[in-house]
Amino acid sequence: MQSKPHHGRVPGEAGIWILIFGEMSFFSSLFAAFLYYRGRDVTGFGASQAQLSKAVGLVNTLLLLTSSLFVASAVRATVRMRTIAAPRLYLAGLACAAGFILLKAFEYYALFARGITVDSSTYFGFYFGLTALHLGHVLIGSGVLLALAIASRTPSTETKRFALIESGGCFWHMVDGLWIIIFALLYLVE
Amino acid sequence: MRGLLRDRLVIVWLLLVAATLLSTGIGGASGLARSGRGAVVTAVVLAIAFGKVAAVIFNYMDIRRAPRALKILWGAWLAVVLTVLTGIYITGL
Repeated sequence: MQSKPHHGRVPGEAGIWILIFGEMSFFSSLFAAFLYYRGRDVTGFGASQAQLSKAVGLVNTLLLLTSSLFVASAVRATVRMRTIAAPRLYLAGLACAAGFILLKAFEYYALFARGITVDSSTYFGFYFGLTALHLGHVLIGSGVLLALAIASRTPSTETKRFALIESGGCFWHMVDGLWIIIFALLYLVE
Repeated sequence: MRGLLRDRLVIVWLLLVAATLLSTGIGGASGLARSGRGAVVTAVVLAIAFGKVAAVIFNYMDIRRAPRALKILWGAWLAVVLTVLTGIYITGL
């Protein structure tokens, strides 16, 4: 923990917070729509949900939580100019992201193999819509993590540069946060 | 090891994992929901999920050290979205 006194400092670039608020609010409107349609077809949603493996969703959640721990530690290591530890921590976060992508691909494949597609039910329309949209963010975030791993190899005291790195970290945590809610809605709501 | 257990980021991660295991255990088709208390279980599952998101935003995004306005904004956003989602779920709106 840094012991520097902070009288309230906005992490990262101010602009990243507009993006994060916007994205999270947009996703929340989809979450509300999901629950609205579920209210109209509780049985159908339950039957579709039963086709998913909770274990796969759980492992993916643990992978993203762990990636967030690595990325938060990496940002902290970057502030402390630990140019060897920081890139490794970003790459560890990226490895978790890769695990998430592979498992998601496996989950899609297993569903397709059983003839389940986006048209199978309203639930699966939401399932594929929400998870594909989120997966797009995971892919963008993975690119960001790779860029951060490279950027953190050179020490820098530039505030602007650090703000960019911190913004990248916050974007990744948003990807994790969105998945936490998606996991609860798609796999755990009864 | 003791150093790790004194690291806020690691402690938050442990709590996040524990909360995930708890909500996965009680939620979904194979959880307690079958006991006929599905609505209560789901409300708890949603509350746990938003508690986890709050932990991520405040600790990992470092909003806990941000200006008060930003903390209030996030706290309010989380409370409103959780309330709306739980409301839609319970009332079947």
